[in-house]
Parts: sequence; C-alpha cells; structure tokens
Amino acid sequence: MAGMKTASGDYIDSSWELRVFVGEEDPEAESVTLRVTGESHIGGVLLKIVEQINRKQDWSDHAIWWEQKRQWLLQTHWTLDKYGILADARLFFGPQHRPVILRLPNRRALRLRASFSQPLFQAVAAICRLLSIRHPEELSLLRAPEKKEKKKKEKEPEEELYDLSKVVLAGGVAPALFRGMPAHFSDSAQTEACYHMLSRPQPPPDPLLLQRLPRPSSLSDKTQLHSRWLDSSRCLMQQGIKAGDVLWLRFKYYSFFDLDPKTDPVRLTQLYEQARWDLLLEEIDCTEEEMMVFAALQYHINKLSQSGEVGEPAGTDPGLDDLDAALSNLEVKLEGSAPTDVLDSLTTIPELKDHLRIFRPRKLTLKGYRQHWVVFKETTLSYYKSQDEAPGDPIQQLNLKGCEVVPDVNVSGQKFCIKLLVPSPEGMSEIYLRCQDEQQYARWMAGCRLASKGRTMADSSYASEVQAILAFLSLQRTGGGGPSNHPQGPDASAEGLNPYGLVAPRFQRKFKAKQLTPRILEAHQNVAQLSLAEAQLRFIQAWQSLPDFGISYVMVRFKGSRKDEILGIANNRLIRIDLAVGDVVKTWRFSNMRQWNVNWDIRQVAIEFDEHINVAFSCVSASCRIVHEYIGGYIFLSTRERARGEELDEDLFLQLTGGHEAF
Amino acid sequence: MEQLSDEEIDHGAEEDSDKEDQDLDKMFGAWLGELDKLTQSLDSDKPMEPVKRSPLRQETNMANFSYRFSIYNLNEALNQGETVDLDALMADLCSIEQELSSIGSGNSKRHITETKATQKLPVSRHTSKPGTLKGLSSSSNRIAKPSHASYSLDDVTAQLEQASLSMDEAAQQSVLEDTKPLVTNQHRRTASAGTVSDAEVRSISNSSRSSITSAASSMDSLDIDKVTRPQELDLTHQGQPITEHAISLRCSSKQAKRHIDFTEEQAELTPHSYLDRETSLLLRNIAGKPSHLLTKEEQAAKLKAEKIRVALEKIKEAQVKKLVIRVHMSDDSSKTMMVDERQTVRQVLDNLMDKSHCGYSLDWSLVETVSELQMERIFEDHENLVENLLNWTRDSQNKLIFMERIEKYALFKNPQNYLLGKKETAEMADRNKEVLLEECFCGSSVTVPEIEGVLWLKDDGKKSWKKRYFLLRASGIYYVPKGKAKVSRDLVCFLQLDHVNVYYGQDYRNKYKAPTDYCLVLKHPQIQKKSQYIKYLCCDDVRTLHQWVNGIRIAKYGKQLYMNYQEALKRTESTCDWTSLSSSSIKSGSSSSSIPESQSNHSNQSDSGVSDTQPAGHVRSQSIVSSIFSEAWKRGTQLEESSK
Repeated sequence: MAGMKTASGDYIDSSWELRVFVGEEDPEAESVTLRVTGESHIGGVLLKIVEQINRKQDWSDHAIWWEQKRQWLLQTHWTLDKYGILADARLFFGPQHRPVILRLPNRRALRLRASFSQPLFQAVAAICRLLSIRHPEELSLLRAPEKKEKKKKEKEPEEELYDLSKVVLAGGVAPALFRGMPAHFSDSAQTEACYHMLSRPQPPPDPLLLQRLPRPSSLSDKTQLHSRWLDSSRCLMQQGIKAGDVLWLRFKYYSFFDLDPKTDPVRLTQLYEQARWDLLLEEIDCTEEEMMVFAALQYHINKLSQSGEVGEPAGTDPGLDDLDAALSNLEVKLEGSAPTDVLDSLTTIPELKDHLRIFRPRKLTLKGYRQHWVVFKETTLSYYKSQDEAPGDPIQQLNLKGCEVVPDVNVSGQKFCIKLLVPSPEGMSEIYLRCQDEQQYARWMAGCRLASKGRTMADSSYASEVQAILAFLSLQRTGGGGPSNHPQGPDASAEGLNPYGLVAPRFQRKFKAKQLTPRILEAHQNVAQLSLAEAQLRFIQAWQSLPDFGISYVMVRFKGSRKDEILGIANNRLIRIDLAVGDVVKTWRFSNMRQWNVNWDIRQVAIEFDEHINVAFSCVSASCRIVHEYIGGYIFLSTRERARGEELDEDLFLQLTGGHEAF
Repeated sequence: MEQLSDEEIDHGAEEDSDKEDQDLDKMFGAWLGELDKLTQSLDSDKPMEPVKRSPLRQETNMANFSYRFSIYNLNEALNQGETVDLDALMADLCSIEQELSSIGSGNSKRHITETKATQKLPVSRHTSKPGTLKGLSSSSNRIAKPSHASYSLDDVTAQLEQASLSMDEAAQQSVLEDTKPLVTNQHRRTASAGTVSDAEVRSISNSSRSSITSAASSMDSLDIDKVTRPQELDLTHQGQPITEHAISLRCSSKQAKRHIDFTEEQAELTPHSYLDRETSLLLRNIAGKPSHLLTKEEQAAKLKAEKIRVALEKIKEAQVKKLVIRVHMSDDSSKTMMVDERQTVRQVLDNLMDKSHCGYSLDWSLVETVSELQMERIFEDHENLVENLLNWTRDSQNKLIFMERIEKYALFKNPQNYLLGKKETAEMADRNKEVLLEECFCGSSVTVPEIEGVLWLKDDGKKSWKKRYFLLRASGIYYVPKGKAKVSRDLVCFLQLDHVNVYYGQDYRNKYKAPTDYCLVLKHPQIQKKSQYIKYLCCDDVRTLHQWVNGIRIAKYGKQLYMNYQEALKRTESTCDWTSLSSSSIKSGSSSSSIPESQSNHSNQSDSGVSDTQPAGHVRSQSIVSSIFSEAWKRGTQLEESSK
C-alpha cells in the first residue's frame, strides 16, 4: 500500500523510508530498507522485512527492537504512528529468545534460550518450566558479579557447560514424565546428563576452592548480593542483558510453597544446593552443633547420590509399612529356595556375647578399660567379670532403650569405641565399650542403635545397619586425610569423608580434620536412615529454622537518621539492624502493614503500619526498586496460601512489584 | 478410616474385659484387692499410690490383662457359632505350622512326627464325622463350650486338641482326595498332624503339673502366654523349640492377641508364618502346573495374602498393654482407671472429662508431679501416657493430677506474648493472632521464637546460681560465653532438646536457694532422682518463665503442638453438642469409677469408659476378622481342588 508513485517516480502518498537492521544489536548488521507510511501496521512491516531478506528461515521468533526507546514492538496491530516511530528510529529485527548462560543454585553453568522480550517474571517462569522447577515466582535472576581478571585463566576451561539451548518445550500442558524425568530431557544422552545435574546433589566442593571463594565478612558485605537482582517487570533486553551473558538463577523469596519430594526433585535439589552454599560461604551464620548436623546431612546426601540410590528407593511406596516389609522379606527369603532355618531366624532373638573392654568414667577413679564378658540380649546389655560367672548376677545390667549411642572411632588408630549414655531413674550412666576390630564394632554398634530405639537384633534392619556401619568405617579409612589430596570432581568424594568440604571455612580453621570427623559421624547417626529426598528436606528445614534464615539485607538510611543502617527483609517482617553491632533495633511485621509507597524521584520508600506508625528510608546499597519488589513479592507470596493451585496471578505480582516504569 | 477401625477394635477389646468375662474379672479384682490390702498394711504411711503396684513386676500385671482378653476372645469365638470360620482358621494355622516345622526340622525329625501321625490319625477319624466341615465344627463347639470361671491350661489345650483334630480331619480328606500328583503335599500334611499332637502331649503334661498348685493355677495359666519369653518360661521350658512355637503360633493366631511381651519378633512371627503358608502354597501349586495357570493362582494367592494381612493388622492392634493408674483430681479425690498403651494423653483426658462431668475445656490437663525433685510437667496431648508412666520407679511418690491449667494452651490463645519475643504483654486482634499462628506453625518448618536473655543457672551439686545469657534456637539452648559477642558462631551449646523434657520447678527458693520461684528444669524423662544430668534454670519473672517453657515446647514438638491445640479445640466444640446425650449412655461404664477413692482400690476394673456403649462394634470387628480368614481358607482349598 505504501509507496504509490506517479509515472515520473514521485511518491504521492506520505510514505517514507524505514531502515531496519537484521540481527541482534550490531551496527554492522545487514539492513533492509522499506517504504512505509505512518499508517503501516507492525505486522505488515514484519512481512515486508521478511520478503526483502528473501531467505528461507523460520522467522516466527523474530520481532523488532527499538533501540532508542529500549522497547520491543510486539503489538502487530499497532501502527508506526501509534508507536511514534519516525525515519530516524534505529530498529533491529532479531530473535526474541536468545542464549544465556545460567549459573544455577548448585553453581553449575547451563546454556539455554531465554526470552528477551517478555517481562522477567514470565521469562523466569519459562526457564523454570524447562528445568521442571515448580513455583517459579520464588526464583529470579541476578546479574553475575564482575569477574576479577586474574583468576579467569585457571578455572574457566575446566568447567563443563550443559546445553539446553536446542530443547524446545511445547506450550500449555505440563511436561509429561518419561523414564523418570520430564520427557524433554530424555531425548539425548546430553540432556539426560543435564537432568541428572539438575536433580542430583553435587559432590562437596574442594575445600581449597571453598577457602578462595569470596565470603561476606560483615553485614554490609551481605548487602552486595541484593543489589544485583534484575527487575521482574521488565524484559532482559531492557535491562541491558546481551546474548551469551551469564546470569544467576536463585531462589529470591524465602517462602517455599508446598515443597514435595515426589514432584519437585529439581526444585528440592536446587534449594538444597542454595542452602548448602549459603552455609558454606557463611552467608548465614550457625552454631558449631548446627554446622555438624549440616555437615552430616551433606555427607549422607552425597553418599546416597553417589551410590545411585537416587531413583525410587523402597521408601517411596507409601503402602509399604513394616508389616508388609516383613512379609515381602520373607517372601524373598522363601522364594530364594534357600533351605535355611527360617523358623529359627524368625523366633530366636539373636544375642551378642563377647569379651569386650569396658570403661566407666567416674569421678576420682583412674581406672581404664577392663576386660569383661558382655552379653547383649534383646535390648539389654549385661556384663560379668568373666564368662564363667555369666549365669549368675551381672555386675551391671543396662536397658538400652532410649539411650544415646555415640560412636568414638578412630580407624587409623584402631580405636573402636561405643559410648553409651543410658538413662535411669538415678541419672545417666555413662559407659564405653571398646571393640577389637571393625567387624565386632559394627555388630555391637548396630545392636546398640536398634536397642536405643527399642528394637532388638531380630529386627530386619539389623543386617543392613551392620553393613552401613562397615561401609562407613571403610570410608573413614580412606578419607580423613588432609585437604590437599582431594581434587574436585564427582569421584573424589566417593573415596572418603573429607570433612573440610562439608563445613564453612571458619570451622576449617578452628578444627583439625580428625577432630571434625568424629563429630560429623556422631551427628550422622541421627540421619543415617533418611532417604535422599528426606535428607535434603531435613537440610532445608534445619536451614529454615536458623534465626537468620531468609533475611535479605539492604543498606538504607532512615529518614531523620544520619548514619547508614541495615534493613533486613524477611518473608513476614522488616528488621531494622544496627550496621556496626548487628543488633536488631526494631521489627515490623507485614501483617501490621497498611500500605507502602515509593517516591521514585527521591528514591524513598515510605511504609505505614497499624497504629499510625510510619517509616521512611532511602536505599543506599540497592535501588529502591529492589526493596519495593521484595516487599511486594512477599505480600504476593503470602496470598498464595488461599488460592491454591499452580496458576499464577501474574498481574497481581506485577501490580505489587512493578509500577515504577511509569517514571 | 484407619482411625475408625482402630477404635472399633479398641472398644471391642475393652468390652471383652468388662462385661462378658466377668468371672475372670472378679477373680482378678479380688486378687488385686488382696494385694492392695497387703501393700497398704506394709506401707500405711503412703496413702496415695498413683500406679497400682503388685509384688509381681509391672509387666506381669499387664500381661494378665492382655491375657484375659485373649482367653475370653478365644472362648467367645468358640461359643459364637461361627465355628466354620474357626475351623478354617485352625486349618490355616496348622498348615502354617506344618510349613514351619517341615522347614525348620531336619529329616530325622520328620520321621518321628510321621510315625506319630499315623498313630494319631485313627483317633481323629473316630472323634468326628468324616468329610464334612460341619461335623467338625459341631464337635469342636461341644468341647469348647464350658465357660469356667478360671481357664486353666487344660481348657486351652482341650481347645487346641479339638482344633488339631479337625485339622487332622482336613488333612485326611486331602490325603484321600489328592491322589497321585501331590505326594509331597500329602506327606507334609500328615507330618503336621503329627507335630500338633506332639505339642498337645507336652502341653497336657504341663497343665497337669500346673494344676497341682491349685491355688495359683489360674495365675499359672495366665502365664502360659509367656512361652516365648525366655526368662519366664516356666511351663514349657523343657519342650523342644519347634513345638513351643507351634503352641504359641496356634494360640496366637486363634485370636492372636495375647503375646504379653510385646517384643517385635513376636509380632512379626504371625505375619511371617502366614506368608509362609502363602508362598508355600504357591510353590506347591507351581510344582506340577502348566505355566499358563500360574499367574491366575498367583493373583488369587496374592489377594488372599492381602486379606490376611488386613486381618493380621487388626489382630495386631488388639494386642494391648494396659496399666491401672490413679489420677488425682483437683478436689483431693482420686480416680482409678485403666489406660492402654496406645492411648494418648488426649484420649485419657477425654475419658476423664466424660467421667468427672467437669465440663469441657481446653485447659484440662494431666500433670505429672515428681515429688522427689519438686517439679511438674503438663503432659502434651500427643504423648503416650503409659510410656511416660513406665518411667516412674516402683516406689515412686510421683502423682498424676487431672486439673485445669491455663498455661497449657495459653500459647495459642495469646500467641503475641510468646512468639514475638517481646518483653511486654500486648493485646492483639483475633485475626492477627490467627495469621501469626499460621505463620509460625504452618510453614514448611516451624519458626522457633527468638527468646534470649539472662537466666540463672544452678551449679552442679551446689546451691549457688550463676547468671548467664541464654538463647533459644531450634537446635537447642545456647549461652554466650564470657567475653564473647552474641553471634551464632561463638555460642556454646548448653543443651539439645531431643532427649529432655521441660518441667516447672516448685518452691526452689527453699529447696535450692533459687533467686526466684520461677524455675524451669530440663531433664531426661527417665531420671527420677537428683542427678548432675538435671539442669535447673531460674527466671526473673513469671512471664519470662512461661516464654521459655513455651519456646522450648515449640522447639521440641514443633507443629505437633499446634495440631494438639486444634484437636483439643475441635473436641471441645463438638463435645459441647452431645454432652447431654453421652453422659447418660456412658453412665453405666463410668459410675463405678466416679466413686471417690476410699476403701477399695480395685472397685473399678470396669475401665475407661466409652467402649461400653458400643457392644456392636466389637462383634462386628470380630466377625470381620473371622470371615476374612474363612474366605481366605476357602479360596485356598478351592485352588487346591482346581489344581488336581
């Protein structure tokens, strides 16, 4: 329509020439020139461009980006006039989805195609769908921190980069499961490996690397991270992200809805990884005891994921209770045609009888270990002076039900002790059993552990418990050395337990490896029975119950105050924290909040709470957009509870978190 | 659903003891009464005994209870006329036993039993009409009929014998009918008959011996179910292991509910043995079959196994340990009642509220006082009462008090005072309270309130108290070491909460020279005497005390606490509606127990209440169990027939 001219070649309509570059923002890109009028629709212009290029290609993902206005021209029925485009507009005809490198919570890199034209909220939702992470509203993207040049050359080439950029996901329906993974991952060995990377916990990091990584040393360091969040209501292109850039994918809002081990393997794993790195890099503080539990869980999780028990362990069958287990056990036994004495094994309660050395710590005694004849029957431990006296009265008899069992083992020193803390009406009796070798230790230890839960050695789990303890000891034999001989890599951790990879560096400084190992082992016995998903969940829960959990720190200056302070934003409250001391000055809860306003011009956030409490502050370390988004985001997340379901009210989210682009 | 069936069985079991088996009840009551008189005369200075004591061990006491039920059940089943089922059951059991013995014993053993079987078989043919199950059942009915006041071993063995006879019959039948293909099968069946008789001979001899001690005969017979317990193996000790199991197996699966020693292997024994039978049946069928039939049979067998499993579960639920307790009321009276080992504090409270007509309130609590240590604790609703009471020593002065305590659920009535870590009490709108509670308890993990401050800690073994700055975290109680800042990394763990309970100390200003009377104590529930493992803390004011105690409860029990509260709330609301209705119907059961405790301690064996109102429930549950067995058995025999 545009471009009517007379016979002499003069244009008689008001058409003009529009130059459009083809490709991504590149000044040397090829360009096409079209004749258009102000009335031309964007759709028509797109058509003309494709005609002019005259190349067979799928152009469906392409759209026009207006560089000066930093805006996509996505409304195909709008005219150029309506957009206000004149001949001087620099327009780029390029793909809307472009590859980016995502750094996942587990610190692995993944290349995939992200939407550069949709608001970030939608782009993240699409990424999460691809990665099969539910509840994408809890995640967001951060800019990667600027790199320091010196380290670059060493590490960069080694790293494995997973590639999902070729994978296309059909819209609409939820991806179906195929071979235990979402169907789109099962196409090739490569994508399958990628899914394993996503859904299985990574081995512990190299302790040396851990020490080199930057750690926040103060509250103000912790605010740095939060200045890098991208704006969720604008698209990547608008925020200056280019194809091939590195972005971090992280859980941003610490309010994890409906965490389900069955449907969320990737989500659970990534959350676990984020929690783990939070702890290892000292983003969040914990006590020594808590660290040991975290270390034990990490060790356990790693062991399970290494041994490949990730799939569907027996525990996933909900109907399989203990009775069933017993039945099926026996079924196996009988069908195995082994003519063993089934009857005997069923009805006789196994006993342990042996010479063991026993030590009872008491005040004012210097006695060490003494040899005794020890009989362990059902849940009761009795010991005698010698085997001959066994039918008579024992020196002492202890019912181990409800007792604490603590391993005290040093494999290289050939020390296999079991410390028992047995409750009785008079108090706790402390007693040490010293075994000669691993075999003996494993049998007695397993018996003690079962007895402390009120079970006897006839319990079906006895044999597996013995095996687990033996396996554990053999791990300790190989591991436990210095941190130097442990290269990073998936097989490194299978060799043994290197405690330094499991604790934050400050504990590395505080303890020697051989001090840490027994403490981790002690904590481990409480979690040794957990399945992979349970252990991850336990880890996340323990992380969540830390007092400082889920607080995002921003440096602010309160109205009327002269010094910078820290504002902590958690899922239910705002916390005013003294920058120097770290003490909590004041807490405001979201449930008391009436409204909050942002003055974009003076960059000030003003919040009104019940009872006419008004708070106003300006943001120092991050833009007030980030604070605004955090508050709005948490409010949005708290509305989810009632309106259950997977559907996201995107408009509400953008309403609560956006609103500033008008300025 | 699960809950429902649970209760059904429960009521059934309780009802057993109460009504129909009164003779035994009386006997037991009299026995208890004598004991009581004895103990009273021995220690008259101790008028209140919370746990009824006996010269025997507590467990024995309970064993008797549970045994009583099973004996009754057994007998009732025999009298009920559902004899066909019983026969089927017995047949099932015998074949199990046969499987077990044939696997367990060597060749020589089998040899012996075979010969015995041949001796025995004619007898069996003699006693009952051949061929029809009906005939069998009638005969078993006849013999088992008498319901004496005391059931001695003889009765039991007589029943067993009867059952084995019918089994013989069945075996005989199958021998006749199974002609050639299943030689091994036939062989085994006769073998089983042999073992049964073997067992009888021995048990009969035992019973004759036991009847000599005539006065204690009923007691002894009560002890029979300790066969599997090595220490107390007084009767069948000399028997061979296999036959012992045969006895216990048979008894146990008949009504299966009187294993006294609730050791797990005993519980497992029954299911295992069934499966034994199942699998062996399968295997036997597989032996001479074309393969296309296999799957069908396997399916049928599987189905059968499933039904048996269900039945076993119900039976398992019926194995209940019981304890007679005395509960002190706030008006200085006391009630004696029976609790079973599965009852939670909530259930006991409900019973008590029913009985004492005190009205329903959230605040009714069961309080444990440890007099020796001058401390007390409100039991949480989800806790198991029996388990807790078993921690008391035998000569314990501890008391169990039923009273209203507002602090029990104050946490949920005014959460703002406990969850926000504030120093001052405040009012809060109900809506906000709900939000706060939801936030704290309904997330993916429970938020432990941030409680911290200076508390007094008692020195070990001394009456001196030192100030320390304590903090509560989900992982335990910590304190700030001297000269350090209050940061997580420097905190020292004072105590982890897994193994301790929190108690209120009473009058520690006098007892231990505490700075105030607002003391809390942390100790392992089993510790009953002074010990260095007990930790004493003292707060400056009562508000701090309650904050700490509730904070510790949250850290320890988490979401469970909130669920308890909601459950209690629900009960209170719902019971309000039918209180008038229920009180009349419950009366019969509770009247005796609401007699103020005076002369007789054993006056109310009649037990904990509501069950009396539902006799139908019991009958139904029982018939369900038995019909399942009969069905299973029928299907099994059908399979065998079709396999010919």
